[in-house]
Amino acid sequence: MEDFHIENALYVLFTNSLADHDVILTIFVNITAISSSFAGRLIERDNILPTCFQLAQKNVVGAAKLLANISRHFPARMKIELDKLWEKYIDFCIDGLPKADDTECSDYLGYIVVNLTTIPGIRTEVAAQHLHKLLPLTSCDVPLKRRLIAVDILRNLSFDDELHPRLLDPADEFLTAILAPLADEADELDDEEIQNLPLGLQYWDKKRDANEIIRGRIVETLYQLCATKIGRTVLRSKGIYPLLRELDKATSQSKMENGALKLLNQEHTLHALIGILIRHEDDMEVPKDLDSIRRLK
Amino acid sequence: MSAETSKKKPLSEEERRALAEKLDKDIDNFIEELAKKKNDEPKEEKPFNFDEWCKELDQHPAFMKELKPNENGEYPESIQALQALKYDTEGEDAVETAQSHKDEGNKHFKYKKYRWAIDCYTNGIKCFAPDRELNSILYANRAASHKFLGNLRTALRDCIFALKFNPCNYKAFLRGAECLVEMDYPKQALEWIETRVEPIQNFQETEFLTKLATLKEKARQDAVKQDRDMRREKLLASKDRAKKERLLNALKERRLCFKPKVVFEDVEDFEWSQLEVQIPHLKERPIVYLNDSNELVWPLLIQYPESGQTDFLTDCSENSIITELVSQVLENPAEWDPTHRFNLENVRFFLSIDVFDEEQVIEIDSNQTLKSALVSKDFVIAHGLPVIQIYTKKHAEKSFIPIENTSRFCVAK
Repeated sequence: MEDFHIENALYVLFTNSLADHDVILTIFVNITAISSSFAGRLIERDNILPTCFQLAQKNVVGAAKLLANISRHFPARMKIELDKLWEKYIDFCIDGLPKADDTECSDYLGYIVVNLTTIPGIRTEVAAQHLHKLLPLTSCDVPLKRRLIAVDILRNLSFDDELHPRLLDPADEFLTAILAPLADEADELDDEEIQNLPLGLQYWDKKRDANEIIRGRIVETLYQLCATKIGRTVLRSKGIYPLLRELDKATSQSKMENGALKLLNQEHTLHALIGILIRHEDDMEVPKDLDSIRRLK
Repeated sequence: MSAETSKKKPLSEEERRALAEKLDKDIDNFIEELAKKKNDEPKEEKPFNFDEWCKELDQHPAFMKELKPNENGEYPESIQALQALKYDTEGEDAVETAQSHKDEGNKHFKYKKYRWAIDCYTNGIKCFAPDRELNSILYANRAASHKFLGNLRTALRDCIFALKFNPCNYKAFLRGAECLVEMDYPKQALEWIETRVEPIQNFQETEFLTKLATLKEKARQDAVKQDRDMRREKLLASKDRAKKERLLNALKERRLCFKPKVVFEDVEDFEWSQLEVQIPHLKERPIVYLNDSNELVWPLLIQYPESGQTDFLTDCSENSIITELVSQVLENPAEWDPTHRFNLENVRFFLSIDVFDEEQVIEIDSNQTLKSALVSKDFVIAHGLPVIQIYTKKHAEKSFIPIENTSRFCVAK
């Protein structure tokens, strides 16, 4: 049973005393971490979200954390409020990501964007206007948290079939950015395989991303791109398969060496992805007029 | 006599007619008087001189073919008048002069006379007119002229000046970036655009925006290509170095000696040319290499000092026996050896060595491997090409004096 008395008291405190914001925010954050109904009630209140928006812009971590939690539960409702009250919030949140100042606040603002990209309209906007800010963040030089945020956003974009043509445009920027963490200088590719790759990935001279989660998310992204015909066509034509082959070789080997438990899901996705890319389109028996195999029953 | 037209008072019909008549009469009188004057003054008729007539014509600015001062260093009057009209800066504004230089330059530019245009713009610049926008245009236009001539660096320099005078000069802004891209500096082009675009942010003309977008995309692609090429160079260089290291280690292991000296530890400074074999009539440059089974494979020169002849062999594995290597060569007589003196049964094999001041040779057994022959004491491989000397048994007997307790021989004088 919810104790509304305490809740109401907290609301009053929040509204009236600026000094105690940090404490109350922490309380809200902790509750919203587990209770979506509480998050919902926070949205209903007139002054909670607007205040948080302002505080977040001033680098108050608690506010950013709270917004991140709420946006996880109710991204659409949050978007409505954001559109009303915070102009260019996407710009603000994404612009904070490349900053090297390591503020926690920017991390949580990033999580807000990740949560919001579950909404189609947001995805379209991010793909249209903010890609060039996000793509450099997949590089290994970028701190882990920011890298993960960027990869998560890009992964969410790939769920949107209509964005595939935009993401897979001939400039190859998106493709290069998400494949770079998978490529390794030790990959054994013959000259022809190298020539087929996008320019930015040829003769790769860095090591692959050490973080398994990031690599796994990227493999999922590629897998999502295979839902559409254009996705499959581009991925096949850009000679991605050899990179994945080398990735599989390297990662399954290290798993065996470390004696770690296999992350079955990840390997499964990688193998499924490789399976799709190896085949010719004709072999896949996809009806020609089907634009996305997501629609297959 | 000119007719005065005063429209202040409208004339009546009569008055108008009277005025017209009067004017006509005045004209007639005037002309008659002129004619009379002419007849009254007898003039000498000058005979028509064609040459003089031509010369006079040549003095006219419209027909002048060359501009030369006369004995006094002066130009013909009409020319002087025109010059004064155009260039006289006494009392004129520097800005006006600079502008006229600019206009003249633009005319030349339109007709693709870029060097003349550059001269004009330079003159305009030298006016040091106190007009920033004008100077910016002068520099920008000069930059364009230089660019069309292919002087990209000079054009870039002029673009920089143009933007110094006027940071909003979008033409100079674009042109500078174009120069950088054409000079193969795509990253610098992108940096140029990023650092200088701010004053031009609000300029929304479509043609400019399209040009800028296209240029940025080209620069981005060129930069990616450049990076790829650098990575490829790095990879090829490291592969080459690894190959050098393998070879040098193999040579070091076998304790081979080379002239000129090869320092086996010095992988960085080692050049392939140190061991490449250069034979005048041969296009390729064979060199010793390590095969897949880690054997050294050599080019080899066989000398027949008696007859002054040689044979050149390639791809001789170090593990081959001497007999194997030369059997094919000695099987059939060469043209210079009609009697086939040089056959396997009739020859001995020697290596020439340099010891102190003496000429010495070492005899090698035909059943030796090439490898063991090459490491014979004091044997030096010159310019990457080992040399084996073949003598007929008869000649060897004559020429060589054995040195006690060795398989060495002195060359007899």
